[in-house]
Amino acid sequence: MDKKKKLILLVIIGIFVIALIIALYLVFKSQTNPYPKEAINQESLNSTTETIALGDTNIESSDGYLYTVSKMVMVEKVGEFAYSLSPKLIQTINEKGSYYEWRNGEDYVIYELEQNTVIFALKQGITWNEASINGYSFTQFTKNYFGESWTYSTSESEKQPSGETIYYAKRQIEGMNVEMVLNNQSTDYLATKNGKIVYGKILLSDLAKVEGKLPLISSEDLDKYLNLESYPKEIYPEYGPIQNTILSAVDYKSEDFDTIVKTITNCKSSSASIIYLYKSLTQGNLTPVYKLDLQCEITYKDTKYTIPAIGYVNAIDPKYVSTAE
Amino acid sequence: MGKGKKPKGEEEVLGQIFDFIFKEAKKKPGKRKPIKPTGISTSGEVVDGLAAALEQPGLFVSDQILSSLNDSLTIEFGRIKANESGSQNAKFTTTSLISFLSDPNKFFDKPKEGAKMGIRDAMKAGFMGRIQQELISNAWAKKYNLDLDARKAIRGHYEAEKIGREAEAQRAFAMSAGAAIGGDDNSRKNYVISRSANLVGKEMFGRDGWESMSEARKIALQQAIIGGNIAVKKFMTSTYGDPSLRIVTPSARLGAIALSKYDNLVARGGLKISPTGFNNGDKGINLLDLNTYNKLEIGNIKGRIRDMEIYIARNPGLSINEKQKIQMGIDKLQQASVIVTGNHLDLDKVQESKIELRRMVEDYKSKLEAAKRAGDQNGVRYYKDQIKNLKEGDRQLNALNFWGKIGKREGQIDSLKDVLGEGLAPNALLSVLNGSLYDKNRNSFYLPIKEEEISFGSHTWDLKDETGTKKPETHAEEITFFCAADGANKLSSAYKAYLTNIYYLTPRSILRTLFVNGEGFVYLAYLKRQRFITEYGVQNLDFVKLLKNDSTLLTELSRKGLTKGHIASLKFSGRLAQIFSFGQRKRDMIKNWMDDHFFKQMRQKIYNSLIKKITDAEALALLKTWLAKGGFEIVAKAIVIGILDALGIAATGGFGSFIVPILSVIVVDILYGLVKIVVQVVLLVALGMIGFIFFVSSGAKKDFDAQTYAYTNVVPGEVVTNPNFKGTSPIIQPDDPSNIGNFVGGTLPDGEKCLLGSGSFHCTQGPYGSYSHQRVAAVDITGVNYFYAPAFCGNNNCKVTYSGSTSCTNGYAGGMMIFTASYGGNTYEFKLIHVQPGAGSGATLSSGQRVARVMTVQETTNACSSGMHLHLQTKMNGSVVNPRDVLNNNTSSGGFSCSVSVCDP
Repeated sequence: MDKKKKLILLVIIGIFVIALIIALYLVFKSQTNPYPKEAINQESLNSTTETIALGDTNIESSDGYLYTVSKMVMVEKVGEFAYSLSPKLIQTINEKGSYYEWRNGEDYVIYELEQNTVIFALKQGITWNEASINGYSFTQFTKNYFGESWTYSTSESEKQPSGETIYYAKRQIEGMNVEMVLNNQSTDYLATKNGKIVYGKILLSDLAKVEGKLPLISSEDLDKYLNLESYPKEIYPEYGPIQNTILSAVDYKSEDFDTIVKTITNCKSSSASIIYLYKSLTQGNLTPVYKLDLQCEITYKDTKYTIPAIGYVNAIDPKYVSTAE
Repeated sequence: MGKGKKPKGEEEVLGQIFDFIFKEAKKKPGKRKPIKPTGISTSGEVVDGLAAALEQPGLFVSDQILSSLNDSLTIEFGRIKANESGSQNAKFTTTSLISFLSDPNKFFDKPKEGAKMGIRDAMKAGFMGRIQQELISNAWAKKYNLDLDARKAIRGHYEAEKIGREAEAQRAFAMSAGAAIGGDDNSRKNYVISRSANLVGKEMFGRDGWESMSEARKIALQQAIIGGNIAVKKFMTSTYGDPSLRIVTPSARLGAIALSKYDNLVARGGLKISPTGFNNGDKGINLLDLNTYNKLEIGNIKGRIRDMEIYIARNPGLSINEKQKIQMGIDKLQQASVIVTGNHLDLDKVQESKIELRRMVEDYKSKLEAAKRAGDQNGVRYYKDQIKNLKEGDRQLNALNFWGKIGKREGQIDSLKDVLGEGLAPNALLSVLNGSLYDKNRNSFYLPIKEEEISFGSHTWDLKDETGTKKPETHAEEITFFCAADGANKLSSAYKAYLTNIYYLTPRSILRTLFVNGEGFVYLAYLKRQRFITEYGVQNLDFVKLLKNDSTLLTELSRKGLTKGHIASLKFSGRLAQIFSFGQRKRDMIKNWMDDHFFKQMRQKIYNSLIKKITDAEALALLKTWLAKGGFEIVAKAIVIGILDALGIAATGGFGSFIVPILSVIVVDILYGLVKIVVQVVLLVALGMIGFIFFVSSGAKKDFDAQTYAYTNVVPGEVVTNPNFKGTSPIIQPDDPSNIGNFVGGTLPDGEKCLLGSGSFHCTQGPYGSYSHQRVAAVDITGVNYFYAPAFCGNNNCKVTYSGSTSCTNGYAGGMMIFTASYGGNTYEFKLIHVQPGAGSGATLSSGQRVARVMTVQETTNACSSGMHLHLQTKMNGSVVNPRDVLNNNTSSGGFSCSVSVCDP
C-alpha cells in the first residue's frame, strides 16, 4: 500500500471515529434529557381575553412533574361505602358511566363520574373518634372506606348556621396541593356535627406520576406569554364579600349581576404558588399550574370596585405544551 | 254532654268542662271519668285534639307547661329589660338567683342573644330607610332652594338622629368607662348642641333680637344654656342686670323677659329636661334629645312663617310681586317643616307627609288655574314646577313606605314562623296546645288575646318612710288572665273570642287554673261580669266588694235589675276564682313583702353604689339605652358586687381579705366581658357605617340624584336644570312579567336530545313566580343530575362566558355557569345556578358535553335554597325567554324535547 492510500484510509477511519463519537454523544445526550420529547396536552385550563399584570410577583424557573388522572372508577367500592353507611340506602339512580345514587329519605350517597367524586349525607352521622378533623383524618377516612393511601392538607374550616363544621382538604401529591375551583378550592371536605361526620365529598381519582421532569417558566418569561389570548389561564373572581355590601341590591340571578361579571378587568397579582388543578376524570394530564392571588376591578354603576380573584395559569414552559385548539 | 242534644255554645261547654274537672278532681284517680267531647258546634277537630290532650296530658307536656309549673314554684324579684319593648328580659327569681350569682354572663346570654336578633332585624329595614331619608331630605332641600336656616334644620335633624341611633352604644360605654369620645362623633354632637342652643336663644330674644346680638354674647349664652338653668340665670343677671333691684334698667327688663321665656320653655315647652352634670343638682334642656331638638326646630320654622304672615298683614301696600316672594318663602318653610317632622322611619308619619304633600299639590293646582286665567306665564311655570316636584317627593315617600313595609312584613313572617314553626299549618294545633299562639313575645303577628287583671283582695303592712314614720302600704291581689283582643271587625273579634276560649281548654291553661292562678275560673268570672255589664248597664263591679257582701254594691246591682240568682251566680264564679288563685295571690304577697322590706332597699344600695356614681346625665341616659341593647355583663357583675356590698361582705380585713381576691377575679372577668360586648357593638355599628360609606362612595347616590332631581342648586339662591336628569322613577318596581319574550327558535338538527338527560323532570318554581323568582324569568327544576351542551355544539359555536362561585344574601349559593350556544343564526344563553361547573370561563363546549353537575343542598351549604335543584334562566338572541319553553319545545321549533312538568304555583 502506498503512502497515499494509507493516508486516505487513515482519514476515512478518523472521520468514522469522529462520526461515531458524535453519534454516541448525541444518543447519550438524548437519553439524559429529563424533559419530554413531545409537547404535552394541557386541557384543564382554557384561555381568556382578560389580562393579568404580574407586578412584583416573583417566580423562579424550576422543574415540575407531570401527573395523569387515572380513568379508574370505583362503582363497587362506592356501593360498599353506601352499604357500610347504612344498609337502608338503596340505589335509586344508575346513569351508567356518569351518575349513581343510593338514597334513603334525606340520607344519600352520590357517585358522579364527571369529576369522579363521591358526595354523601347521613343524618345520624358517622361516628368518628377524633376530637377534630385534620389531614390525617381524611387519609384515615379514604383508607377505611376506599382502601387508598392518599395524603391531604387542611387549612380551612367553616361553621355553618345549622351547626355543622365543614373541614376543607386538598389532596397532596409529593407535598404539592391539588385544587378544584369551588368550595374553597378544596378537593375534599367533611362536615361534622356533635362529633359525627354528617356529610362530605371525596375525590376518588387516582393521580399517577409520569417519569421525567417539566421545565416551569419563570415570572420574567411568563410575563411575555401570559397575556397572549391563547395562553392557558382562567380567572375566578370572588364576588361574595361585595355581594353582601355594595352589590347587596343586585340579585345574583338578575341581569345586572351578569352585566357586572362581564366588566372584570385590570387583574393584578400579588403572590403565586404552584398547585395542580383538577377538573375532571377525563382531563388526562394533571399539569403544574401557577395559582395567582389577584385583585381585579369590576364596574358597577360607573364606579370601579376592587375584588379578590384567583387566577390559574399554565406553569409549564410553553415550548412543552400543546392546547386542545 | 249527651248525644242528640242541641249543640251548645262554647262558653257553656267551657263551663261544663270546668265543672266536670272540678267534680272529678275530688274523686280518687282510678274512679275519674275520661272526658268525652261532644256538642260543640264550632271546630270539632280542634276540640277533639284538645280533649285528647286532656285525657292524656302527659303526652302534651311542653316547655310552656313546664314553664308554668316553674312559675308556680318561684318568686320573681325583678327583671332587666333586654330590649326597648321589654319582650326580651332577664328575670331574677328565687330559682335563678343562685345561677345569676355564680355566673352572671351565662345568665344574661339568652336574653342578650334575643335582643341582638332584634337589633339585626331592625337594622335591615332601618338602614335602607335612613339612607333614603337623608338622600331625599337633603336633595329636597336643594331642590326647593331652601334657605340656610331651613337646611340647618334638616342637617341638624340628621345629626341628632345619627347620634341618637348609631353612636349611642359606643358613647355610652366610652362615657361610663371614662374614655374619650371619638372626634367625629364629637363634632356631630357639638353641631346639634350648638344648633339647639341657638334655637333656644332665638326663642328667648326673638329672631330679630338674636340676629342683632354680638357673636361673643351668642356663644356665651349658648354655653350657659348647655350648662343648665342655674347657668342661664347667672348669665342673664350678670349680662343684663338684676331685675329684682329697685331701679330696673331697660337692659335688665329685656333680660327678665328673655329669662321668663326661657323658664316658660323649660316648664311648658314639652322639651326633655335632664340633670346637666355641670352644676351639682342643676337641670337644663337636654340638647341632644331628638324630640327636643325637633320641637325647637319646628317652633323656629313656625315662628318665621308667622313673622312673614304678620308682615304681609301689616303691609297692605305691598306689590303683588313682593307678596308673591314672601308667599314663596312661606311655602318653602312649610315644606322644610314637613321634612323635619315627617322623615322618621315611621309609616304613620310618612302617611301624614303624603297627605300633606297631596294637599299642597291640590293647593298649587288651584293657584295654577288662577295664574292661567290671569295670563301670568311666570306664575304658570312656577306652579307647574312646584307640582312636578311635589309629585316627585310623593314618589320618594313611596320608597320609604316600601322599605318600611318590607321590615314590617319580615317581622310578621318571622313572628308567624316562630309561633307555628316552618311547617305553619300542620303546627297550628301544636301552637295552640303548647301555648305559643298566645305568647305575646313570640306571636306579634296575630295575637288573639290581650291581658286583663281582676283583683280578688289586697294585703297591707306598715312601712317606714325616709323620716322613720310608719305608713300603711297596700297591694291589690290582682290576677292576670287572657281575654279576647279587639278585632278589626266583627268576624275578626268573633275569631279571637273563639281562640281565647280554646286557650282555656289547653293543658297549659288547665294546669294553671288548677295549680297556679285559677285563670280559667277568673276568665269565667270575667265573662259573667261582662255579660251583666252589657245587659244591665252595671258599672264598677268589684269582686272584692261583692265577695265581702258590700251593701252599697248589692243595692246598686239590685237597682239595675239583677236577680238574687244572678248575684249568687256571679258570687259563685268570683269565689271559685278567688279559691283557685290563692297560690298566686299568696306568692305575690310574699314577693311584695320581700320587695318592700328587703329588695327595694337592696336595689337602692346597688343603685347608690354603682349607677349613681355616673353623674353625667347624658352618659346615664345613653348607658340605659345601651344596656337595653345588650350591655348586660357590666350590670350583672355590678349587681353581684352590689349584692355583696348590700350584704356587708365587701368590707376590708377579716372576711374582706378573703373576698378581695375573688372580687379581683370578677373584675378581670368584667373587663373581658366589656371587651367582648364592645367588640360586638362596635362591629354592628361599623358594619352599618361601612355599608353607608360604600353606598355613598359607590356612586349610587350620584345615580340616585341623576335619576331623580330635575333641578340642582349651583349657588345659593339659584336653581338651574340638572343636565344629568333622566326622568326615571328611582323606585324599584318588580320586573314586568309581560317582558318575557315568546320563544321562537329555528329547527334544530337531528340527534338533539334533552339538555337535562333522560327522564321527566319537575318544575318547582316558575318565572316571575314566588318570592325568589319574583323578578326573574327562571325555573327551578328537580330530578336533574347533569346539564349537557346541545348536540349542535362542537364548532366553536358554544362558549362558556362565566364559570365560578356565587353568593346570595345568606351565604354561599354554589357554582354558577353561563354559556352561549349558537345554531342557525340563533344564539341561546343558558344561566345555571347551584351547579358544579365542568368547564371554566372561555372554554368551548363539545357536542353533548356534560357542562355542569347539579350540587346537593349540603354542597351549597343550604344557604340559598331548601333542596337540591337546578336554577335555570335562558335567553334567545339576547331576549329573556321562558326556560321551560326552551327545554320542552320540539326540535322543530328550537326546543330540546324535554319533559318538564308545569311549574308548581
